[in-house]
Amino acid sequence: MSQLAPADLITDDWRLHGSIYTSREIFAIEQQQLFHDNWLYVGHESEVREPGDYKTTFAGVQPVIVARGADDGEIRVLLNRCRHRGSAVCHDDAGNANYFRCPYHGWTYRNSGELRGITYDDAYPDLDRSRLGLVRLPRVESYAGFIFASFAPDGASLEDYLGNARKYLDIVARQGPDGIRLSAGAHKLQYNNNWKLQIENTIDNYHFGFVHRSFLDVLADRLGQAPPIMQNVMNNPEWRTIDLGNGHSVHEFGDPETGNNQGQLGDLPFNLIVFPNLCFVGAQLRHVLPKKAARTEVRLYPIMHEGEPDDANAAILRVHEGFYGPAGMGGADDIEVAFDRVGDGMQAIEEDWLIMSRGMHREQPGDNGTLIGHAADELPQRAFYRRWREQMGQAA
Amino acid sequence: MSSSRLELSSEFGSVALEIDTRANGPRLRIENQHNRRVIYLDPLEVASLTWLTHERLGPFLDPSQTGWSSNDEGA
Repeated sequence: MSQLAPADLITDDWRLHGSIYTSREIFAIEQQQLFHDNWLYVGHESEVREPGDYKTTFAGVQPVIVARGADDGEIRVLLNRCRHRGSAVCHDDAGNANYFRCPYHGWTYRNSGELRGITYDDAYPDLDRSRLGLVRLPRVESYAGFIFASFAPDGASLEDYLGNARKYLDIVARQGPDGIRLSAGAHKLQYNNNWKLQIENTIDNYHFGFVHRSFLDVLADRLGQAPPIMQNVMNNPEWRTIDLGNGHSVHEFGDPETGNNQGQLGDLPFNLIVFPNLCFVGAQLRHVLPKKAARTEVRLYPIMHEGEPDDANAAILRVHEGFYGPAGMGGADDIEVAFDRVGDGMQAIEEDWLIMSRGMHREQPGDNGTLIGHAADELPQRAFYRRWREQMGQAA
Repeated sequence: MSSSRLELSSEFGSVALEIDTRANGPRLRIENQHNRRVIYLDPLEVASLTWLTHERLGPFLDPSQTGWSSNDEGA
């Protein structure tokens, strides 16, 4: 790692030190500073609709269970770690169970966390079972159906934390006539590089006309003319990036209620980043899961429209797959270039700085403390790293 | 005689359900597919289950009470 303190890894003229991406020490500090006290997205209410429903996911690197109480219907977030010898208690991505039984020695918990029983328990005459439930994250709240949790018992409310991003989450939640659901599940991708590269790539119109040129060429063949995406990115003043504050950012394709990328990328009217690791792009919710400094898992959840017929939702899936799917024409290029090739290049550390200053001279103040930038500028990245520097700088 | 068989499985349990008609009245036959233990429940017993909360079912979920007790002959 560089000898620089975390806050000094970003310069005032927006150069970023490579160790932000490659250092195991920085990764460990991020888990303390970004993935502990902040509100962390863990799921959508549609994934745990019924009492006893649960899903497994991660809060930072820590495995968690999101479970709806068997008798009270309350949503809880529990560490997915048996209190006995540490095994993950739940294995499946999702299921319905009012009790969880650890696969290692059979310790059994209510889905609200309390330890209910132990196999061959006569060997534990003095064990205080009341203190050995699955560890519950102290704060769990939902906004517009999106469930967030925090390891910190106190702190900003979820509404204050989301701030200017709330308006966009409200719009996502209204995509279907009766709301949305994540009933299509997720497809998962993994790559050997840092998690923040996927966040950066989520709102990076600068790369689109270059990395995804082959996709644009295919669309031009289909449509008989080049799609207007890059013309809009470069010249349409209604397509813009916005630093929403608190690390959040958005790229609007025109009106945030009705805008459209016109490029067969999905029908969300914007791309959105909710700090630190939740994104919306195309027709999907994208949950970015850090694993190691150089290992990331991304889960892509196509957003289904509640109240629309099955064939309309099937059409959403087909468009999503066309660009982002495992055999799609876009996602694989991002993995190859924006993640793998960046990883190859950053092994060269003799001059270990990146440039993230594109368009900083033309940022304009907006309402509610926002900053507005050109569609192809690196304003969303600066929004993210401004918050990153602030929180990482608090590391002792 | 019994009706068609239903199976319910999760990562934690797996059972087969049938309506058994060999007795003088119908019974629900539940077989634990992990150890082949079977219970037959009559309609009143099944109806009474609907009064339970999941919390009150807890004693049956305690493994030391149901199959993993040091005092069981089969343990």
